Amino acid sequence: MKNFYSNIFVWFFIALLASSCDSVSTSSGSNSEDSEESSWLIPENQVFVGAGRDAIPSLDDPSFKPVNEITFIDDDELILGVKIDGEIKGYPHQILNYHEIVNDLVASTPVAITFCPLTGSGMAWNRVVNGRETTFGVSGLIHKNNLIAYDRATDNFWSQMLEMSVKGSLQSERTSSYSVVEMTWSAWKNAFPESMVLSGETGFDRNYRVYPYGRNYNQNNEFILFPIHREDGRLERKTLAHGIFYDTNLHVFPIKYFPDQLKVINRNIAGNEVVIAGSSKDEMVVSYSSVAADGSVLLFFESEKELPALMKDNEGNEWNLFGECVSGKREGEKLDRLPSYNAYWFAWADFFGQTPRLPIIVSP
Amino acid sequence: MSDMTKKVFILTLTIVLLAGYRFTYAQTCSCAGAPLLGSQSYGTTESGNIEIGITHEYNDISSLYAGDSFLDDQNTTRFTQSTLLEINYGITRRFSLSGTFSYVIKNRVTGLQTNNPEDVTTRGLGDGIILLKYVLKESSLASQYQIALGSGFKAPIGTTSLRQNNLLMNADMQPGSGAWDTVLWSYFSTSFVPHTNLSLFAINSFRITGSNDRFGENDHYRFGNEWISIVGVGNSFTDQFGYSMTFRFRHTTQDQRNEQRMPNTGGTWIMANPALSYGMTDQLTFRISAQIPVYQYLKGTQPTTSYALSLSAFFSFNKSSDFIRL
Repeated sequence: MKNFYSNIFVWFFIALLASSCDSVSTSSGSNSEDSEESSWLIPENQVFVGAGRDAIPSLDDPSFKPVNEITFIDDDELILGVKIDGEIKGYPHQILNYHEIVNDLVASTPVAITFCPLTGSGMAWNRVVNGRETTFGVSGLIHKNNLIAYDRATDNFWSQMLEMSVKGSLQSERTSSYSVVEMTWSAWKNAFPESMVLSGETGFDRNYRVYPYGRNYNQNNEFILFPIHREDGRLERKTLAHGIFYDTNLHVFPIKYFPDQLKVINRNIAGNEVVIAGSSKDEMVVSYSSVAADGSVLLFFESEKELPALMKDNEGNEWNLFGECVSGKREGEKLDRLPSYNAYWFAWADFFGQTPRLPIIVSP
Repeated sequence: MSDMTKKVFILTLTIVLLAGYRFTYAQTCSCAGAPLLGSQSYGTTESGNIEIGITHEYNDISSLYAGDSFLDDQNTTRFTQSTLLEINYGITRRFSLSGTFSYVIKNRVTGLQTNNPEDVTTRGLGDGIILLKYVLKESSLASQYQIALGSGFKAPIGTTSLRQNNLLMNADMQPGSGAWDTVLWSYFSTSFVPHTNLSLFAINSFRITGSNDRFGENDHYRFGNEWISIVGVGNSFTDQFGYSMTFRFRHTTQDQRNEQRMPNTGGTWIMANPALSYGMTDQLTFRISAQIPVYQYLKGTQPTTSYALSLSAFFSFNKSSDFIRL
């Protein structure tokens, strides 16, 4: 009897060892296997798995409330905002930290707000991809600490900071983007008291008052979650900076270098006339082309009025935060947006530090 | 304890500890829901005896907590199934060697609320623990308590290189940790024969983690240190049937990457573990047990155990031992 039990255990052990093969099995509602089979446009060894696909859930049916009904945002917290066809909507970082992507309609235009908490970069993408309306989701993959989104219609993987498909049938195709402004909640609610703001009633049980990446990720320069491949010590890693790039020319404007009061800078970047306006108090920097619709190059100055008034020009026109002319002979015109967004310095350096020219740091 | 025995024990303990520390800078590990430390059958083994235990545990880790607040998350489910093989050998009257090896299956379903779920299952050999135990105080009828100490290491024999679409999967889906850890262990039990079969016991274990090179040679990821304290009571209904109730305190510090604490890692747990056992023969015992959360405090927001169930079989090649299979 004793030998019988001994044999059972020995054979069980042998069976256990025999079954000890390593494996991964996956099943998903993926629409296409193209993405899984195609290669990466970016070095594959720089792509890390941060979480499962949609483990960070996008908001696909967002709800909004008027500014005066929003109570969970502290004054110094940041908010992203867009204005399309007259409709203004705000998307607080406190919610984006937990969801990263909001698939929304702004004035009936399908828009995806994408935000990467690790690189501090936020954008608004057109949700029409390859002629089809889609939604974007969080792939769970990370490139240089930055969000890789995927779209649910084509299963392409989209690098947020490169603003292009880096894997899939649309590889190398760029996203179509809308202007985004970013500022403190305090500045936003003064500038846009009539706007609608993404509410905390998301359908997900989360504590949006608590920052999800530790107490001080956005301030601690030593604390980076995934490896950095290229460093540039000219600025502290977590310096939030507005970057404008034309081809290989990246100009970076650290937001904290702007004075508290609004400052407007007219500048030529790689042969392009641009205007940059910012305030460190409001943690806000925006940039537009200085070239008006008729081809005239305008020269801008600070507006004496409060936000959303932003600038006046050498013709006496007044322009707002979204680059719209609100008074003067050009009223109704809109300045072209620039290829620009905000991100932490370490991410700018890691992504674009090896272009033929190093990023140019501009202090206003 | 003779002076010679003491010297041998201290020397062995020192070697094992030094060996553990030597490897402290060689790794990383993720053991989401896979028990290893604290899962041993607790006791010591008599000289010359070999005891084998096999445990299969199902751990549902679908609960989401922020601090001590439960979040009703419908977006993700997770479970881990672990098969543990424990081998104990009594080297001398006081020394015994214990080895625990694991095979781990991890499942994660994400995107349930975005109508695009992804179901991923990984499986592979998990890490193993080797412990050298020493009975400091033997139990006798006149003095019915036992004290034992132990030390050893957790060896990174588990798989850490599983890939999905050619990308290295994240650490908490790998069966192994990739890190050498040092393990310290202590055991106390007391009984009250002939008045009652009831026994009380307490086990403490501490795991000092090493680091892994998951992100590169000069990039050190280190899982949090782990402290487990177990107190319990065991008794028998009949000669064959027994029961026990234990409470398990577990605390892990936050993971670190290059000395920086990682968010959403580490926490404190108190679990209640009721168990029933059935001694089929003198050599063969079965046990079924559950793990029920009593208190959980997690740093940041983390998935954690909703409940766990385990089924064990223990076989003693020679005779019944002082194992407390609870």
